[in-house]
Parts: sequence; structure tokens; C-alpha cells
Amino acid sequence: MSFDEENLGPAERELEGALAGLAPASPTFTLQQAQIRALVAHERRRTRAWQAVAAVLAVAAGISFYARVTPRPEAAVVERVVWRDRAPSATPSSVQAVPPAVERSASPPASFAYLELREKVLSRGVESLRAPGAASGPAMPVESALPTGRAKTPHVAPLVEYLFSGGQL
Amino acid sequence: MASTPCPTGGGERQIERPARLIDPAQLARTFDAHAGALILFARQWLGSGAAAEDVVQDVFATLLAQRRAPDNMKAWLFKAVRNAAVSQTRSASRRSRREIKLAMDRPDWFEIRPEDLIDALSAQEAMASLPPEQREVIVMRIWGQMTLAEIADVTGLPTSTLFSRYRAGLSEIKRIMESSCHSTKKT
Repeated sequence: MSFDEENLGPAERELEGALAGLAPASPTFTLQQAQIRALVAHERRRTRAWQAVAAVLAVAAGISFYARVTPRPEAAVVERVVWRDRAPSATPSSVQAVPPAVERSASPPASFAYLELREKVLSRGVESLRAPGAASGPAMPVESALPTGRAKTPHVAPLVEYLFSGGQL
Repeated sequence: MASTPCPTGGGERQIERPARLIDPAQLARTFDAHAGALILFARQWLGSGAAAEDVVQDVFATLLAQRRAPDNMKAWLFKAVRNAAVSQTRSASRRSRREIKLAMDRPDWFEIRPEDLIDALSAQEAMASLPPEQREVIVMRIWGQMTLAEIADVTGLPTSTLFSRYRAGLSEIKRIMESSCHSTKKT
């Protein structure tokens, strides 16, 4: 079905013709003004595009300048001595198995005993090797003043003899 | 748009311009023929003549900014004006309906000429009293000289609906004008 003026009645066609005779009010602007408006809008868009590009470049330049000028924070070196316990040997169960008294009564190594004795002689003299209870009595054998196992050390006996002989062996 | 040959100096060899470029002469003809109708069309939503002219000028500026001409320039113009006017009406909510009504009552829709078969002011009053959906069809059909298929392209409505609205609008205009004539004769 076509919908056109053929479907209109004569009265409607007459009214349609009469209305079509009316001329709409003329525009107060010309096509040249519309062209100018189009040109202005085009230039405004282009300007905004360049403004956006310039803004992006300015931000990038600012960021790079800031990154270059600002000194980088140096790595802080903190020097300190940290005392730490000795690492437990073996497993905790084996440590607990050893009684503390036995551990304390264990004799120091021979080299350590020698160094301790040498230090004592150098600082207090040979007299300090005497036993504390026999100051007025006869001199205590030097071997007895030595720590346990000290007399059996082959290197200590010549040293003691040397010290008591006044440098003449 | 008809493609116009462009002589290149050789005489025989001719390069045809792209068919879809906007022809300035045709644009000028379109402007002269439809600018008034487009402003009248825009006034159906905006009321104010200045706002309607602003919208139409913007639409022509948009058309000029396009690289390719639309297939149906007249339908494109009416559709663009309709979209812009509706959009502006929605955004300009600050304008009260009273202001729009006052602007629509101003007698400047049509040129007042003595040879007209119908009184311009009476026609404007009758048009202003129509529902907007009937009024836009009548404006596009009568002053835009568009077919119902072109109006359907603009509004997105089926032609049967448009024809019903068109007939109803014409009947309403006739009734209003007859009643106003009777009241004038009585007084």
C-alpha cells in the first residue's frame, strides 16, 4: 500500500496546497556565514589538537627534567656489629643429652693452656706460678701449678726450666 | 550529485572528480531552497527563531566540514537539524516551557504576503496547537517537500504511521482554522 497524496481527500489536498503556498521566514544568515563558522570550527579543532600535543610534550619534558635534576637517594650503608649466638651443633636433642656440668669441666685444649700460662708469666712474673697456699713454704713444683695435662706437654717443660735457670740451660 | 568533468589541458583526457564531493553550487541551491524550511522545522522544538537559526547554521557548517556529500542531502539536513534541535532541547532544560511557548507565539514563522491563500498567523496558530509528532511530519512533507519514505528515513518510523499522523495533522489544522473563521464571522 502506497501512502501518498493520492490517498488524501480533495479538502485535504486543498489545505495542503494552501499551506504549501506559505513561505517560511527567510534565514537571517547567509551561506557564507555558515562557511565561516565551519572554517572557525575546523581551525579551533586543529588548534586544540596542537594544544593537546604541546601539553603532552610539556608534561613529558617536565617529568624528564625532574628525574634528571633530583639526586637519586644513595644506598645507606649501616655498619654495626651483630652479636649472635653460636649456631647449635648437631640436633637439639643431642645438645640436651650432654649435661652442662660435664661441658664446663672439660679441660681447655693444650695450646690454649700454654698461651694462658705464658700470659700469666709475662704479666705477673714467674712467682705467680707458685701455689697460693704455699707462699712461705718450700716452692711448689712448677709442674703441679700447671693446669691439668700441662706437665705432660713436651714443649712446656723446657720453657719452665729455661725460665728458672736464669736463661742458662 | 552529478560528476562534472575536469579538463586537464589535454583535451581528450579528462579526469572525473569524485562523485561524492560537495558541490558548492548545489550547496548554495540547497541552502536557498531549504534553509527557511529547516529553520521552521527546528522551531518545532526550540521555539526561538534565533536558537533555530543557530542550529541550522551549525548543521550547514557540519555539512561543509564533511569531505563527502550525503546521498540525500535534503534528508540528511532535516535529520541533522532534528537531532541537533532535540539534543539542544534536552540540554537546555533551564529554558522554561513558558519561554518556548512565548517564542512559538511570535508571528514570525512565515512570510506575511498578501497573495497567500491562507492567513499566515492563523496557520501558525493552528500549527503551534498540533502535537509535535504531527507537526514535524507536516513541516517536512509540505515545506520540506519530502516524500513519506524520506521522512521515514529521518524519523525512523514506518510510512503508515507517518501518513496517519499527516492526515490527522491536516484534519486538526482544518478544524482549528474553520473554528477560528466561524468565530471571526460571528464577531
